[in-house]
Amino acid sequence: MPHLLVDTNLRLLKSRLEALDDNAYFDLRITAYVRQLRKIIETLLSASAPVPNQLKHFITHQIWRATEFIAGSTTRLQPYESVYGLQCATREWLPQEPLIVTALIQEPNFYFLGVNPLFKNLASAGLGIADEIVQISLPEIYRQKPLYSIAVYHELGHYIDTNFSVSDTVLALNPQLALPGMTGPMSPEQQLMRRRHLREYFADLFAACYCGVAIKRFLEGFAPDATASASHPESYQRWQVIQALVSGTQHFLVDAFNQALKARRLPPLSLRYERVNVSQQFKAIRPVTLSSIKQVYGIFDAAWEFLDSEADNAQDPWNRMDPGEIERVVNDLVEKSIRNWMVRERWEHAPLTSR
Amino acid sequence: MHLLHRDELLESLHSADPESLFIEPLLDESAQVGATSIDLRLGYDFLVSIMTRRPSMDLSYDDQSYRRIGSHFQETRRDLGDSFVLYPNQIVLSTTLEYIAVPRNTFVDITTRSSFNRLGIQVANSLQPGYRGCASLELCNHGHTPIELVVGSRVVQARFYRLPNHHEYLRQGLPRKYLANVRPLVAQTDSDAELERLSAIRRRRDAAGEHS
Amino acid sequence: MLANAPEPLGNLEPLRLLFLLLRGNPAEIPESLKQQALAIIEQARQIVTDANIIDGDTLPEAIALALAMRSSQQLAQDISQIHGLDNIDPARADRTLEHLNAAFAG
Repeated sequence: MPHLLVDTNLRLLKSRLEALDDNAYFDLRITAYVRQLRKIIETLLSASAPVPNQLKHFITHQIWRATEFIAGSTTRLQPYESVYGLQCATREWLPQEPLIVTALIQEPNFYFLGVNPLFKNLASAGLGIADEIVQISLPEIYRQKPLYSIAVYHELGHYIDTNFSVSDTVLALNPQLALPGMTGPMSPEQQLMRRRHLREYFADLFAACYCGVAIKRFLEGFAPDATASASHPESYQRWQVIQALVSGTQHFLVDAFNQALKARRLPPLSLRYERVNVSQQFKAIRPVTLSSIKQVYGIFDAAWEFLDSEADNAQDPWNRMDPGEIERVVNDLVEKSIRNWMVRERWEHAPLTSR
Repeated sequence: MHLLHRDELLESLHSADPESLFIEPLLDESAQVGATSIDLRLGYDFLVSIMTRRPSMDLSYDDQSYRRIGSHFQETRRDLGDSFVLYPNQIVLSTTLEYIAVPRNTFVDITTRSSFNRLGIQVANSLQPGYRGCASLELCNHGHTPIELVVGSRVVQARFYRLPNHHEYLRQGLPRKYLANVRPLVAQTDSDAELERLSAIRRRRDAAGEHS
Repeated sequence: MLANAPEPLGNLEPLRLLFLLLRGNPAEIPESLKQQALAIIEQARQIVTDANIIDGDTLPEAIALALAMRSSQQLAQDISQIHGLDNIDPARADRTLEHLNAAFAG
């Protein structure tokens, strides 16, 4: 019986969620999220309100994907320092601060998953989630490497794009838009490719707003010299667009995105970080004392520059370390710099009551 | 050696010299900097010792089925203000919340604050001149009752001794095992070169048929 | 490479499901889904006529549908003829679904 499998899946997911619920979380909102998902499953499995099978499949799929992310976020190994900046960034773009759930995966890739609009819509019937939730996964081997985790900003860019149809708005307003490397009339397949490429450009630019050229440096190492594919533009073209934003040079794509963002009443693409001088402190093998969230973002760009320069031409005492050690120490100093800022923020803004 | 007192500690902390004493984040200077010591806080990363199938933790790495020391520990993180339960006789590795950069002419002794000593927790550590990193805290509860520690609470105190000379922490060809660490690390004894020498001595002796 | 992982039709899952369910038993379709789908369709038609009406309140799904309608005449025709869900028979739902899927096939 085909219907039996979907019900079985729901029961198995319910058990899994119960087990996850037994863990304590850093963020109580994850606990609430887990309990909401369990409640949806109970509603689906109850005989009182039969749900069409296709809808049940859809909802089960949403819950299954959500469980994957929640499971990855319960191991108490979360890269809080890498995700902290994301949480701050969303405040500017979204009406309510979303819950960011991060999963650590074994793949050499980064993903995001938003809540499908249908799943949000079904919340009124008790079969969906209305909250803003961003689900991001990153490679587990990068969890202590904030410089390599900056791709999460690219993923947040995808979330913003999907949530507000930014790149679709660009195409709606500019139907004849030709991306770099694309010329002449487009077949349906090419139009689809254009749409996908545009999304990647937006995600790159979004990341560059926070990480500057660091996102380019990371991508050059992660996916060097990639040629254009159905889903991604050629790497060279991506660097050109990022460079234009960072250097303040006019570029038609940046203009097109900003036109769309303005129409959607969203902030423009612009640099949101402050350059931090890490050299003096890092040379002394000390973390940097950051003084604003803009500097939290800015440390990525500065640290990447430091890492590249020390890797090529290490100064004392860094020239007494091997390259692997240099990379490890720079990533740790970035992590500690950010964590120190987080600790100070919490300490100084803790609401105190008299005992 | 000269034990640094409060004025000297503050002078070094406030100095812009990259070689001066650096402790960050120093959340409450007036409360933490005492007459002859600086209180340091419990950090947020932990390595908890766990039971495994192995009967013992082998430090000689001669055994064919050698397991890394790290396999006897499980990692977990907390956040500022969270509690962490330390069970009787359990070994837990953590670090100070603060990252410390020790001047090259200074030696540091770290011991538990007396409140925690009285609960049966004892920490003893020292930092070499030029040390960089979050200081390791090897926590063990010698009492009978589990103790809930709070991340960010002041658990140890550090005393700073000025030396007559400067000493290089990083010397060419002599790597430091725990350089600039910001999280606890398991013992790196298996990277001790002398263990390899001792293993070679034993193998040669066994091959020669000498038995004690 | 960095990749995102949305559903194949992304924001248009509500429409895809609607037409799937219209092929079967329309009585089972949740009211909220019907309302959502009609709102998407109405806004998409307006955007196709004049994209400059897009503002901060425009449904993201409507923008996605408008683009799909621009790239597929068949889909545009199907959508332009929808003025309520009561007169959509299974065959028509099936056809619209096929055109919707085709508009996103890569």
